[in-house]
Amino acid sequence: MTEELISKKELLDLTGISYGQLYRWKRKNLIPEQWFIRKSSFTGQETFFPREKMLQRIDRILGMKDDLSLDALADVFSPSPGDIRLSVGELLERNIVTSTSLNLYIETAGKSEGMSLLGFDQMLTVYVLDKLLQSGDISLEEGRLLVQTLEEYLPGLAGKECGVHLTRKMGVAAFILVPGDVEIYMDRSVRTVARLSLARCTEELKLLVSGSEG
Amino acid sequence: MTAQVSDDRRADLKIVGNGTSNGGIFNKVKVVGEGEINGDVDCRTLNCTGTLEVDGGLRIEVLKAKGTIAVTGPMSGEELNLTGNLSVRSGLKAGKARLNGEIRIEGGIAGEDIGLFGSCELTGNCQAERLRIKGALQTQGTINAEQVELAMFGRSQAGEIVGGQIRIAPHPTWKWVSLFKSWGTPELQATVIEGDVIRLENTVADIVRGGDVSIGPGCRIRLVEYTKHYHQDPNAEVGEHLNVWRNEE
Repeated sequence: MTEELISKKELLDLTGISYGQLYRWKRKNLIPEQWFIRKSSFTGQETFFPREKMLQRIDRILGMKDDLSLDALADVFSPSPGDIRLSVGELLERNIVTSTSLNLYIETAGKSEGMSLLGFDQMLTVYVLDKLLQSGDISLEEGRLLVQTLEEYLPGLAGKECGVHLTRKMGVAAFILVPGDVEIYMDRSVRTVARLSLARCTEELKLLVSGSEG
Repeated sequence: MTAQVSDDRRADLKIVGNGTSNGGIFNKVKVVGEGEINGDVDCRTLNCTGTLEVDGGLRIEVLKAKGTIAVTGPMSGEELNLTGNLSVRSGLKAGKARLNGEIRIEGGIAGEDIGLFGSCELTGNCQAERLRIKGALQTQGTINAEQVELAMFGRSQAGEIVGGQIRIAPHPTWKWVSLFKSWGTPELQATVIEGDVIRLENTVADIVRGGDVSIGPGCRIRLVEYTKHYHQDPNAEVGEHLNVWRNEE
């Protein structure tokens, strides 16, 4: 399955932004370099973008740019973790995650109630867990598996785009972390139950955390 | 905050005549003559008259230099002033830079307000809010800046130039100074130029796309695509110009 692309011309036409804006956002890293895909076409070289991601991103930038500075926006979209720390209580109070997921996380990761400040990686783990639990895609038992996987590999993946796949084959669940969130191909009896992008989750979590602060 | 305390204990480094150092963290570094530093340097100010070779990275807050500086690693600074030769092998990051003379940067430039006066040879991409170049530019990469001003003495070459406002023309004094004529007609060759406001003279490009596009004398462009305004000088050659997508806000 290849991603549907959108040409630069069509993009500017559709969104009504100018070249200047597009390149300003690129300079500020609001739009990642990897999304600029160069291809030759009959008019010479043309630049294309992943259609879905790009339209969504521009929509969000346009929606938020009046409230936040470009640098603050860059922070939201950057896949690198913020240096935010929240306590368990705050996470619950502000409805960022549910108590079920948080309890499961604390139980699995073996964090004592005493050290209740969670770093961004830890919050992200709980957030991903919460998302999957709430969607009903995974059971509590599989949630444990997820926490262990993320706890182990998340620090090494800091700031990189990464896909989280949950697959099942003959009822046996497996989590796969895919750096770069590329396509992976598995034999036909493997079913991908859930698929999340860590960059997207990071973005959502950052918005949740900073949004409810102000 | 803790960094502040140790900052106050930074020592100064002075090289007068001929000297070598192994680098480190300094307050002021002063080089008069010929200096060689093997290792990374991090300092508040660097004053150099003469030659400085750094085998490693160079981080400065304020640079004032006359002469030659060669850095093998990455170089970064808040305010850079240099007249002479600069060669950086692994990218340059600067807040404000005024670099006069022969500039050779490998690994790209990222900065806010960059002025390059003289001959500039770049590899990698160049990003800035404001980029002013007077002289000749040689690069295969992309230049992305809110404001690009290129006043040419001599032949220039660029891969892509993109951004907000782009002005490219021979330097106004070029016509009057016969000395420069031996360098050949100042002319820019580029593949793609894209921006909101584009003013070109003596530019040879494959594609120019923009909102308000003005093609001045001495240009040869294969294809121009514009959205708002288009102006073409009688002394310009344009293969095709199209008014594409009228998207009025």
